[in-house]
Amino acid sequence: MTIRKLRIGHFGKLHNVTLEFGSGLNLVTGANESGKSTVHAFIGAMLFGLEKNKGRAGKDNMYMRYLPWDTPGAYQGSMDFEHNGREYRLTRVFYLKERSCTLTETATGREIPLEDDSITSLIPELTVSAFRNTVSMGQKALRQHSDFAGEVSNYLANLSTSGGREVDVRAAREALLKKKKQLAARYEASDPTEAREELDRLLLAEEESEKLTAGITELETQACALESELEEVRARQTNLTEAAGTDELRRSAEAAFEKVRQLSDVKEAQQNPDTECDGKPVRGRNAGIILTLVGVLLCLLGNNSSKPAVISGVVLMIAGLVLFLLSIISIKERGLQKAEGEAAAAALIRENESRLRAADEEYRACAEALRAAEMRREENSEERERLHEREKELIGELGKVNSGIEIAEYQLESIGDTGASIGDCTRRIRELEELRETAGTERRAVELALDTLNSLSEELHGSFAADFNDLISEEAALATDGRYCDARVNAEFGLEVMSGLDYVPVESLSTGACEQLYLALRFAVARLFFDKVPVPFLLDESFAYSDEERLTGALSALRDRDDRQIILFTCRRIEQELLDKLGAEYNLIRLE
Amino acid sequence: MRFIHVADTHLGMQPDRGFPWSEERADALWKSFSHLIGVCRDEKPELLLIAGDLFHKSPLVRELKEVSALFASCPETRVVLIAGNHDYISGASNYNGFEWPDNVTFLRDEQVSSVFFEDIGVRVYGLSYRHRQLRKALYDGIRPDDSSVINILMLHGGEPDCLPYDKKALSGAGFDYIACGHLHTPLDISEKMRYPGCLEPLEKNDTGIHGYIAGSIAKDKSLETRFVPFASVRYYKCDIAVTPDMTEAGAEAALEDCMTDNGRDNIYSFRLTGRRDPDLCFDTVRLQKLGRILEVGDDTRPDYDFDALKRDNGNNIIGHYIDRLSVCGEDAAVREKALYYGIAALLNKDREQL
Repeated sequence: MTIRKLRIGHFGKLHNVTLEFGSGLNLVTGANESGKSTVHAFIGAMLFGLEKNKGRAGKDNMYMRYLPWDTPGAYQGSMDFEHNGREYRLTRVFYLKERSCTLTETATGREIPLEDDSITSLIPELTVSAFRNTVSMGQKALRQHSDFAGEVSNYLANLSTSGGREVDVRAAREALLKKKKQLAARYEASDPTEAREELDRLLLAEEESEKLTAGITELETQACALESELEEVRARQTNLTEAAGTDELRRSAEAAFEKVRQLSDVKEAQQNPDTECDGKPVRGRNAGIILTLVGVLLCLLGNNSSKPAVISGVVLMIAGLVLFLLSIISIKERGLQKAEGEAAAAALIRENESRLRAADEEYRACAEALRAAEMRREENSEERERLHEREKELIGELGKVNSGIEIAEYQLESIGDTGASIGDCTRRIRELEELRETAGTERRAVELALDTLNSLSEELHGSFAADFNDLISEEAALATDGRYCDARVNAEFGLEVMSGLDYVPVESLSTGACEQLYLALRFAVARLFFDKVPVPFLLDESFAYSDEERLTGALSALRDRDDRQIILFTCRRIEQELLDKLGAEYNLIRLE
Repeated sequence: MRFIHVADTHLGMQPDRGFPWSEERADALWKSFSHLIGVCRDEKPELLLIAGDLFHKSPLVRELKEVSALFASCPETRVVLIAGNHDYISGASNYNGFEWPDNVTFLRDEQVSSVFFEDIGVRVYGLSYRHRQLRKALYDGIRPDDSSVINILMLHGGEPDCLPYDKKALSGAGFDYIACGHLHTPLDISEKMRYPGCLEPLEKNDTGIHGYIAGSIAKDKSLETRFVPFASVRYYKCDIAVTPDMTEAGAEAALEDCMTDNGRDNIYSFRLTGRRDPDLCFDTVRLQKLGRILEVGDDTRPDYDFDALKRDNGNNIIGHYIDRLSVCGEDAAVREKALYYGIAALLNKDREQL
C-alpha cells in the first residue's frame, strides 16, 4: 500500500490542504504546531474512521480533538492510495451528522463496500491495533523499553482483533490461575476421606458396642449362675450347722446330768434320815448336862467368895436342867414319829431310785448323742471349711463379673448411639462425593483452559521468535550494509547481533550501529505483521532524541529501503541535511 | 381381605437439617404416621404391613411406646412389622424385650419366619435385620408352605448390601403379594410386588408423590392395589431455563412462578440452565432465600456467539483458542466448560465473572 495524495477539508488546524507523497521516503517538515502530527492523525482517521468509542480513538476522543468548531461540515477529507497494483480513493465525512465513507477504485469507478467503514475489510492485515502498534510510531524513541516483551505479547495477542477489543493474555492467565486455586480449594474441602474415616470409626464403634452388649449378656448369665451357686453353698452351710446341733445336745446332756445329780442327792438323804433332824435334841440334852454342871461348879466356887457367882451358878444349873429335860422329851417324841414314817420312806426311796435310773438313762443317751454329734461335727468341719472357701471364691468372682458388667456398661454408654451418626455420616460422604465430582470437573475445565492458553501463547511466541529472528537478521543486514547479518531477540526480548563468534547486545556496539539495528527491529516487527502488504511506515519525530551519529545511522538505513513507503515527520532541519549528505532520494513536503 | 402396605416411615429422622423448616419436617413424619393409623381406625383394614425402617435409627423406648400406643388404637387391624437396615435389631436395641399390643406381630428373626392369622386365612412371611447390612440372599428359594391360604411376603432391601434378591424368581415364588420396603421412590417390580417408597419424602432426591399402598386380596386370590398419595409435602427439582435476555429479576420471577404453581409449602432444588447474558452473574445465595429452597445451582453459560468471536478473532489467540478447544481430545462436557472459562478470561469485560 502506498499513499498517493491526501486532501484535507478541515481537520484540526489543517484547512484545505493537499499533500502528495512519493512511493519511497517522504520527509514532512514544518515548525512546531505546523500540523505534522495532525497529518499523522488524519492518515489514521482516513483508514479507520473517527467514531466515538472505537478502539483507542474513542479513548482519546480524537473526534472532538480535530473537530472544526466553525465549519463542522468541512470535517472531511480523502486519501488516494495504491494497493496491490490498483488505485483507490477513500473519501470520508467525519462530521457525525453527515458521516459517510466511500471507497472507490479509481480506474473503474466501482464503489467497494467497507464493513464497519474500516480499511480492514480491504486489507485484512491492517487493523487498528496493528497499525497503531507497529507501523505508526509516535514521538518516542525507537529504542525498546523495558516492557517491550509485554508489547510484543500484546501485538501478538491483539493481532487481527476487531471492534476495539483488546486481549490481555497475562491477565487472562492470572484470572484462570485464581479460579483454579479456588476450585482446588473447593476440591480439597470436599475431600470425603475424613468423613470416610469417621464412618469407619463409627462402624467399628458400633461393632464394639455390639460386642459389649453381647459381653454384658454373657456376663449377666455368668453372674446369674454364680449367684445361684452362692445361694446353694450358703444353704448347704446352714444345713450342716443345723444337722450338727451339738449345742442343743450338750444342753440336753447337761440338763439330764443335773437331774441325775439331784436325784442322787435325794437318794443319799433318804439313806441317812437322822443325821440332821435327830441331832438337835441330842445336842440339847448334852448342852443341858454341861450347863447344869457349870452351874453346880459356880455355886461351889461362889459360896466362899461372891454371891453373884452363886446366883449365876444357880440360874445356869436350872437352865441346864430345863434344857436337859426338854431334850429328853423331844428324843422320846421323835422315836415315835420315826417308827411311823419308816414304811413311807421306804416307798419314797424306791420311787426315787426308779426316777434316778430313768434320768441316768436319759443322761447316758444324751451323752451318747452328744458324742456322736461331736464326732459328726468333727467330720463336717472339713466340708464346712470347703464350703466356706467356695463361698469366698464365689463372692470374689461375682464381684469381678459385676464390675465387668459395670465397666462394659460404662463403655457402652461412652460409645453412645452410633446409629444416627452413621446415617448422617453416610449422607455427608455422598454429598461430599457429589461436590468433589463437580469441583473436579470444573477444575479439569480450568486446567484445560489454562493449558490451551499457555500452549497457544507459547506457539505464538515460538513461531514469532523463529520468523522474527530471520526477519531481524535480514533487516539488520540491510540497515548496516551487511555488517551485521545475524541478529536475534533473546528470551528477555533483548536485541543481540552476532559479532565475531558470539551474540552481543546491541548496546555494546557504536551508537550509530545501535540506532540502525533498533530501526531494523521496528521494520522487522512491521514486516512480521504485514508480510504480504507493505503498508506505509510512519515515523513521527522518532529521532527527536537522537544525536547526529545515531541519526546518520538511522537515515542511512531508511535511504536504502525500497520495499515500502516511509513517511518521516520532523520539525528539525538536520534530517534533511543528513539525507542530502547521504545522497538519499526523498520527497519533501513542507508544512507552512 | 384388605391391607395397607407402608414402608420407610423413618420416624425420628430430621430431614433437611440446618434449614428453617427442618424441625417441622421431623414432626411431619410422626404426624403422617399418626394419620395413617387414623386411616386404619376409620377403614379397618385387616392388615397393616410395615416393610421395615419404621424408625430412622434404633428406636428410643419412648418412641416405641408412642408407636405402640398408636397400634393399640386400631385393634381391629393386625399389624405386622419387620425391622429394616436403619432400625435393625442390635443387641442393645430397645426392640429387644419390648412388649407390643396384642394386634402387633413383629417378625424379629433374621431368618424367614411367618405368622398365620387363622380368622382371615392369611400367612405373612418376613424377616428382620439384626445387622446394618445383610448381604446374603436370604429369600432365595423361598416358597409359601401352604398355597391354599393367602400368602404375603414382607421384604426390606433389594440392594447388594441390603438383602439382594432375584426379581424374577421372587415374583414367581407363589406369594399373593410381596410388600417391599427400602427404596424411597415408589417402584413396581411386578403387579404383585411393589415398593410404596417412603411415606413422607425425606431428602431432596425423594421427588415425586409419596404415600402408601392400599390393597385387597379376594378369596379367589385376585389382587387389587392402588397407590394412595399421602405425604404432606413434595420435593421438587426444577430446571429454570435462562435466556440471554433474562436478568436476575427474570430468573427470580421464574423461581417464584414455579413455587407458586407447585405450592409454596413444598421444598425445591433449582438449577439455572441455558445461556445467560455474558454481562450477568446470578446471585444464587440471594435467590435461595426466596422460599423453601435447598439449593440454587447455576449451570448457565454466557451466551457467546462463538462464530462471531471466531470471525472477529480469526488470527489472534481468541480465534486460535476456540479452534483448539473444538478439536482437543477431552471429554465434551469439560471441553465446553473450558471453552467458556477461557473466553471469559480472555475477554476483559468478563474476566471478573470467572
